[in-house]
Amino acid sequence: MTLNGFLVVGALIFSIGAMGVLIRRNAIVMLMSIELMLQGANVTLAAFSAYLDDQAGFVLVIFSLTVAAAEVAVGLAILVALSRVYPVVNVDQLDSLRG
Amino acid sequence: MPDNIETHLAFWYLAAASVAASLLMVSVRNPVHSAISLVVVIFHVAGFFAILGSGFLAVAQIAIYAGAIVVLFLFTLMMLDLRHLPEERVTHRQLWLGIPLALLLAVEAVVIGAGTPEVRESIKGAFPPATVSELGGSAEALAVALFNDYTLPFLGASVMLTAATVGAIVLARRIEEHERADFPRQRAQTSAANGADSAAQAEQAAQAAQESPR
Amino acid sequence: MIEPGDLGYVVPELIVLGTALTLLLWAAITRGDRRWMSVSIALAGNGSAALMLFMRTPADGAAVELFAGQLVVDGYSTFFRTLFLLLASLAIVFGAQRFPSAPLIDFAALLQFSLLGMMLLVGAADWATAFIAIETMAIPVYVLVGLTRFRRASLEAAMKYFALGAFASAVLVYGIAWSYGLTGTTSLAETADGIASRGDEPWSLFALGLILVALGFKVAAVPFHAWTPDAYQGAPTPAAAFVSVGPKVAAMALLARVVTLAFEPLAANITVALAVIAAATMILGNLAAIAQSDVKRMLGYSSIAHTGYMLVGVAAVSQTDAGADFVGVPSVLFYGFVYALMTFGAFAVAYVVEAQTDSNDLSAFRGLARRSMLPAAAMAVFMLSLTGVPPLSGFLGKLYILQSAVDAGLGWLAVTLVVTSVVSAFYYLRVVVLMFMEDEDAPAAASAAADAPAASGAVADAHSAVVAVTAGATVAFGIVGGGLLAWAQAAVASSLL
Repeated sequence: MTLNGFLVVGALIFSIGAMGVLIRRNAIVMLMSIELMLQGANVTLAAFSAYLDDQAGFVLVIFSLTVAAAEVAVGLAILVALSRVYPVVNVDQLDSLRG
Repeated sequence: MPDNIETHLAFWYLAAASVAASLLMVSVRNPVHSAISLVVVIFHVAGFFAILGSGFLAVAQIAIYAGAIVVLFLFTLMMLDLRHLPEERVTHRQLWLGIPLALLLAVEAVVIGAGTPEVRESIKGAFPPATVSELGGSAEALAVALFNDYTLPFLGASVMLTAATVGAIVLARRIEEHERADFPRQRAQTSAANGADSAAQAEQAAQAAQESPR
Repeated sequence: MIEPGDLGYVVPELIVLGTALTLLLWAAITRGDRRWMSVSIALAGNGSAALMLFMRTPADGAAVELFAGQLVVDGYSTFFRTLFLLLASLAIVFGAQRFPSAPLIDFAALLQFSLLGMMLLVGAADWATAFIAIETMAIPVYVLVGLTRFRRASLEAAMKYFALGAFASAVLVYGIAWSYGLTGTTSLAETADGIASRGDEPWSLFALGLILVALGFKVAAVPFHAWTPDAYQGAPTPAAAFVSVGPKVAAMALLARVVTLAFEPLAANITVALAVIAAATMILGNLAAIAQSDVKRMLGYSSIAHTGYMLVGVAAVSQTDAGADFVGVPSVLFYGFVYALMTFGAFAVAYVVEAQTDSNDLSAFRGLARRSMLPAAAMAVFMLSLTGVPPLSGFLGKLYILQSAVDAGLGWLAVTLVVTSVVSAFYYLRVVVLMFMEDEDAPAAASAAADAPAASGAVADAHSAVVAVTAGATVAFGIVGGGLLAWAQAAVASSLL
């Protein structure tokens, strides 16, 4: 089993997540897709860390987990607040800002 | 990491399952099903951490992601009551963005996997196939790294979490009536130009949102 | 490991953190109108933080590494930290005009958290610290944009800003993962050694590209700029003023440090990539700004254009025998400083008009000079300075950037900068013409101005002070800009770069 195997999986998960952000319009699924991108990055970090025989990559995974949790908390709070003022699910409906 | 047949089998299973679940997550229509697919991805990524030698990260991953983040997503889905989902339409613009990106990244994955000769060489050069030492990614090794080299970002992360908590509370707090009136006069009687702004409409919408779940 | 001596250098950051927590406690234990108290707490905190900043500057301009190489205190970080302390203080006084008591405390506390993130970001010497700091800066800012949570526009702006910001963070983590994997280190300085030993092979460029995309989102460079006009238009005006200058300049500071330190061996590739992005950013930002009728949206596109000008400075690298020489970085520091002050001031005047007429539309500026002379005169200064008219500071900033672009042999980029600046005169001067030349539709605007809420006099004076300080600085740095440039040059010379 080579490093390349892990890197390919990481790249695939990351790119599927990026595609989800661009193609899906449901705001919650978009946030989940961002989580997916972070998962791909985490696999890459952990694989590099293991193959370099070093802890730094694993430590960065811990930070990435922390940031993911904080981002989700704020993102979902914005979504809940938005749905109170204006029931909205799809980002297409976010159209009151125009130039 | 042990280089035996079990690990190889585990790797191929985890790789296939996690990529399949990722594809499922972005393609199913119902957000609840997406959330469940995300949990599946998370468990399999935890499996990767385990075979890479960090049992601690595998547990932390499941506890934080499956235990907290996905639950938060599901709570929000329940609160927003998405029984009547509006149809999602994929527009041309999205396909214009999405398809080239997907192709680009697929090529990237193939290049990493197959590798042009010199690329494979360079990665080999950088990574003598060192086996992870016993401590590799264990809780003990991570704690030592975290409290020696990475103290400052560790402390910074605590500040970030505090800020995020305060922010989430500020946003999610109930909108008091006096608060609205309290804002400068123009907010209450916004001109027709940006009618969606008006507090009256906001109030209507808030009432509608309150009534709909019942 | 925390060495006791290390803490001495981060006293300003600790004071800012203490101020944020004090504000939150103050909100919990008191009732009634707390605006004066929150402004005083925040200003006292930021003032003493600035004082401590200069008392603990490392001797003879050395760069001091702290916390096992995570943070560096050098002239570069001191320059930016001074600017951010000033901007946050101005933003809190501005906010006291816009917000009633309860939201003001939230605003001030979140602003202080974001300020802390920005202060750590400009001193980050390791990817771990840079990543955590960029998130500490960004997460409170998403909330600030959505702070008026009963307005749909505000929350929509927050949602868009958040979605793209989180996307950029994910790209950044992936880029950091590759940079770490290729070099085996997270330290910015050691990354350079690792990259140098690998040369410009595709994988190094891949890691660099991901990091540039992520930071491109944060500084709003084309083609990653789409969130900017929406976020500024929807955000409450004080938040928009802060977002348009603080996080953007902080991300620009990190970008400059990353390309000059971690990816220095790839300088030739960086120059090409950044020059193309800078040209696209200047052209698109300026052209799109012409079509806007909302002043905050116009300032949003204008800020994109100014990102382009700063990127020209980062891209200006002259190749010498001894290696790459980043000649443009001091001019980026100078431009970041004066850009922040003049854009902040323009938002402050936009709020004066908003309070008078309920509108952010450009037509609301019609005849402003008759209604209120001081804001109109200040706005004229900001608009002329943003255009780059001598002797204002925006002119000097552009001049220094042009010089470094020419020194680096980027003549075509310098020409693009000049041409797009001429184009920008169209929409900036239109505001000036509206304010001074055109007669207002007398009855409507006058009556609106007459029954404008009589804000308590002292607060209104404080807001005038914000306008006056930014306008005064914009004029002053235009006349005696040499001092600021000398400081910027000393800052770069004494940094890790």
